Amino acid sequence: MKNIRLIVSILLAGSLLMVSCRKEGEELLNPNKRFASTYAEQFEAVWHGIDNSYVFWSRDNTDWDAIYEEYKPRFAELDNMSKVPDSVFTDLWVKVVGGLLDHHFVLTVENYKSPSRTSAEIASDIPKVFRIGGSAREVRQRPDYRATDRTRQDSILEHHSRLNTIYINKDNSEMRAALLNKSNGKKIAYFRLSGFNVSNLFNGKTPNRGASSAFIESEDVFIRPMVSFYGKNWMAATYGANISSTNANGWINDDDVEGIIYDVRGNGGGNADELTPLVGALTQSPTHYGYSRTKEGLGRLDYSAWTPFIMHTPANHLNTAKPIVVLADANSYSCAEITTQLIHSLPNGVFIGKRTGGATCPLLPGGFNILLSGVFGTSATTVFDNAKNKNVRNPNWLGYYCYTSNFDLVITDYTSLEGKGVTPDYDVDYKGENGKDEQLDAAIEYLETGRVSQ
Amino acid sequence: MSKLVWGFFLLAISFGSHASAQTTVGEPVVPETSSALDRWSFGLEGGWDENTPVITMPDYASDMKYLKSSGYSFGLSAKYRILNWLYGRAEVLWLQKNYNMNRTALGNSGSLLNASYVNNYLSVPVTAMVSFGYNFRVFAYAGGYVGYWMSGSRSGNTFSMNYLLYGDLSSTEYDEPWEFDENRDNRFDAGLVYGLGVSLLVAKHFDISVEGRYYYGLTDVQKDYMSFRTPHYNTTLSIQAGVAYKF
Repeated sequence: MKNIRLIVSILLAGSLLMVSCRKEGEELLNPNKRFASTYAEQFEAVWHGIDNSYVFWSRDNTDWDAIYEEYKPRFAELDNMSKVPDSVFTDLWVKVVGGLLDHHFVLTVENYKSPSRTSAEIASDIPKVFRIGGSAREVRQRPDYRATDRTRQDSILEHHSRLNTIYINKDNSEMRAALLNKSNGKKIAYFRLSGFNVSNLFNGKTPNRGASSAFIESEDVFIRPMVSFYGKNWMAATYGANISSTNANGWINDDDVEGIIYDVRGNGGGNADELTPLVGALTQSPTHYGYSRTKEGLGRLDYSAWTPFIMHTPANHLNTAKPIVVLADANSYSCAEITTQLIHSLPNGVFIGKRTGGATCPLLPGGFNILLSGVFGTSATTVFDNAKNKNVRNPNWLGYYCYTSNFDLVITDYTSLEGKGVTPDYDVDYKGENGKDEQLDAAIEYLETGRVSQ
Repeated sequence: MSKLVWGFFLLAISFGSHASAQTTVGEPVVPETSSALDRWSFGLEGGWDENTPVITMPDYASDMKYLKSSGYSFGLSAKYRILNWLYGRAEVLWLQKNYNMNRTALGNSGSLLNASYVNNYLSVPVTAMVSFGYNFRVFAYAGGYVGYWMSGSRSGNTFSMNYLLYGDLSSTEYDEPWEFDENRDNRFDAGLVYGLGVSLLVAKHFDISVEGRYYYGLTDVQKDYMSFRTPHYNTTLSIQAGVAYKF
């Protein structure tokens, strides 16, 4: 009996002690509202922001806790220095974030103890600002990486032996449209987009020409490539643009056109909402690209459910079954990569060029508080300076701004392309030697023969 | 919470003392028998439960509310009479520890972001029970449990890429089995369990019972896979009925 009572007593006492065994959570602050007045605090703000909101922790192998242990004291050491050399500052940050998988990732950080500040900057308490991005370095280190040489590509296109017609937009940067001759007398429609910023054509760049204004094609050279390629009707339906072009349906639906080349080489991306009108228009029906998810909680592995990502086919889509070649390379990022993968997945699509950059997961600045992921950061505050009798920049404010993805996006078999990029059907290098654009020539060859020989 | 626990144990101890006092005057509540089998009873039990997730979200995710949700339990029990007032009890239960999540980040449309989590556990409570009475008995028990998170699912509404592509704030419905992540999910479950109930001997070998119990999880639902993690515990209140065969 005594033993039994002893056992019961021990069990009861043990149970009561165990009630207090639950751990309490750490206090976590919104990285958009943290105040960093020291280098250690700047590190803490960035580290915690990434810790809680980065969408790639399920596939990023960075030992983030080890980063904290190693670099928090290193940043604290900066607080004891009278000057913080730029190289020391940036090297530390590169070691912290340089290995992250996110190929959109750019960290902007301020160094107010920079010895390279000018006297004017010192007088105005303006820090040196540095942009730390790991992904660009990884892409440039690829053995077959080549920088985009758009001027040479333009020159080659403009002097190509197959060139029939070419339209170049006014500011010489946004887009090209060309008709190329096939050997059978038919045509290939070529369109190059250097960025998904087409809305800029209607807003800002050309004052007083809203989308509802009447465009005169002969004067509005800057939209002629788009009108030529997509057609007047598409422009009217998509942008409400009333254009005096006779090209109602565009080259895409021209009976003489037997193939399409969509060139996004060197296209760094842009507005995701331009994907549907520009790329969805090339499809015949809604296209299942893959699945996306975002964060659902502050744990590194707290994710929302996967939801399908369907590229809609706009009502005014061009319904073409003609073969489409997408040209892309390592300088194709973000929306350009989604475009590449989308066309690559079409039954009439093929991808020629080089593996794309690998920034395949989109982002939305300003979406942090809803999605608990993506871009965060704080800029400088002002304080009232009695001596100057005005508001001045807070001299001890160490701003930070972290540009990172909101969504983890995978293709239909749940393969992630982040950090890898889209792999071409035909891996063709661009050398640009002897007036040749080998990738463009491969696209023409494919549209003529159905294969690429090189 | 601790007051509730203390109160419960004081009650349990007082039951035990009362039963013990009865035995000392030579009137055993249950006649002693010579057969070891006579000390056993086996039963079926099942009921309804309500699980409360204990997750304290930091301020900037405070719109993410974790809410209690109901579920069911069902299982087998075995009880061994150590003394006339003291029993050992072990059970094997299928026990649901469900909860909901609701976000209000979008104001009135916050209900667009929500989730219902269904979690199925295999739970093995082992308790010491004190009991008094004759045909009608009152009992209380305390002990611990171990369990295993067998399966789960979640359904609800979340954001999709439509938000980016089309500015569409309407969310996407989903309903999917829970995919365990071996780095994140702690499938081992353990904690304390307390209960209080009544039983009635309805035939020579059968009694029926009704009881309420409280599972206090001591293991985090997630593993300690990151340094600054928000803990997540389960607390489950269960009401169940059972029938037992007494040898």
